[in-house]
Amino acid sequence: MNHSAKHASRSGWQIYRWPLLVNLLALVGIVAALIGNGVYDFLSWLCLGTTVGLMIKAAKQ
Amino acid sequence: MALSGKAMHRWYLIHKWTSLICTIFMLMLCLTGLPLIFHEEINQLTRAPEITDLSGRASTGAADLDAMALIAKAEKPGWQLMFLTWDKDSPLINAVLGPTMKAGEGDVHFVPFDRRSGEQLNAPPPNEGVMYFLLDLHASLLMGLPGALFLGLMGVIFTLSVISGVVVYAPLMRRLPFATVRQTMSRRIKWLDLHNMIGMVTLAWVSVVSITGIVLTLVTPITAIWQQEQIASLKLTYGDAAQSDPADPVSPGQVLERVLTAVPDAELYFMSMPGSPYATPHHYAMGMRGNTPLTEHMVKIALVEAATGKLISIKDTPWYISAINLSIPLHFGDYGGLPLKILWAILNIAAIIVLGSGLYLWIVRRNKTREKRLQSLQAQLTTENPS
Repeated sequence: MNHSAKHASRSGWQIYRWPLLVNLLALVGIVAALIGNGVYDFLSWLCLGTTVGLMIKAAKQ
Repeated sequence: MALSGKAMHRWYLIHKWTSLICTIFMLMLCLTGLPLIFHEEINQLTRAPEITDLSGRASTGAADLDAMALIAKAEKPGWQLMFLTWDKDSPLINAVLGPTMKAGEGDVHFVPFDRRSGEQLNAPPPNEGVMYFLLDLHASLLMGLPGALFLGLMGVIFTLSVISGVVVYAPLMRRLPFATVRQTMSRRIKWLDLHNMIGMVTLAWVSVVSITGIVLTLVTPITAIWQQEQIASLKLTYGDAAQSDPADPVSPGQVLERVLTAVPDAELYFMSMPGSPYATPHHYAMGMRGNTPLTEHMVKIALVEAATGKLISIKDTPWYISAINLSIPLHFGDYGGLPLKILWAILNIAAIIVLGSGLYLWIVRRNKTREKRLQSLQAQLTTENPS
């Protein structure tokens, strides 16, 4: 995530690509548990748990 | 995303004003919503009926159902039986009585039964107590339909605030990698970074919960529309003959028997009496859940003519009713076990932090602008009166 040079202005794509990815992951998590039980529930916890973990890690920086 | 400075300022104003309007209500929704995520667990601990283990007993036959209806009606003379509802995870049937067929949820009386023995159970009514109060506050500000519609409007304004928040995120992040929380002495910058980071990471969740919430504020009008459509289409097919008031309507037990003959493995959900919501004035409506995880939130409706007991149709509900039924789990997060509920609760707390930090950032900025104005005013005064 830290590739961009410190003072270069980032493009819209560069700004939004990570949020997009994180939110797609969360969306998979939200939908998965609705589709089935067992494996689907587990997938849901994994995806949504990852986004929550990312958030807590970033807040603790 | 290269918006001009002027356009960006406009987006900033949208973000500021939409947020200011809805923040107080959104905070209330988050705070009341937090315990509601765990409504099953809390109700199980505090208000569950005592059900003795009768495993192995057969489920209710038609005769039992009619007996239940009689016992329930005797408890509230003059009231009408509106619904019979089947619990999903326990052998519980609730008879729901109202002073009128259109009574609201707060005014009805519940009589619980064990579906295996037909025995009446002792349980605190589900429309009383702290959890019901929280739900009523959360869903309608304790003000019924007008309150619900008002909260729906707040939800729409909140959605605008979220969208504008995503737009004004870009200029702030031109020189910062994603999820940076700058370690500076400035408390404002730290909270700005946290507001941006948490707001952005929880975007999908917040959108799902607010959109499903808006849908749920429209349950009453949407149900009324559906009922009108059903009545109209039945009139079209059967003419006015099917619309006459039945002098001697069939009993709920007979309706159950008729439906079970057609669908032996039906997952019973509710039976709506003629004249109550979800039915028509001249038909019983029997709701059935799907048998798979994906369809268990969807409902099939069997319509049975009250005068003759004839099974008219078994149909999937239209898309807008399915939208409501899917919105309930997606809003409350109670569809993927306890881990999902815990994640839902953490995300709810994250939303509270975003709301709170947004309010803080507005106050700090406001004080700053005020200071600046004061300073420029003082400067103006000193240049005007040099002494």
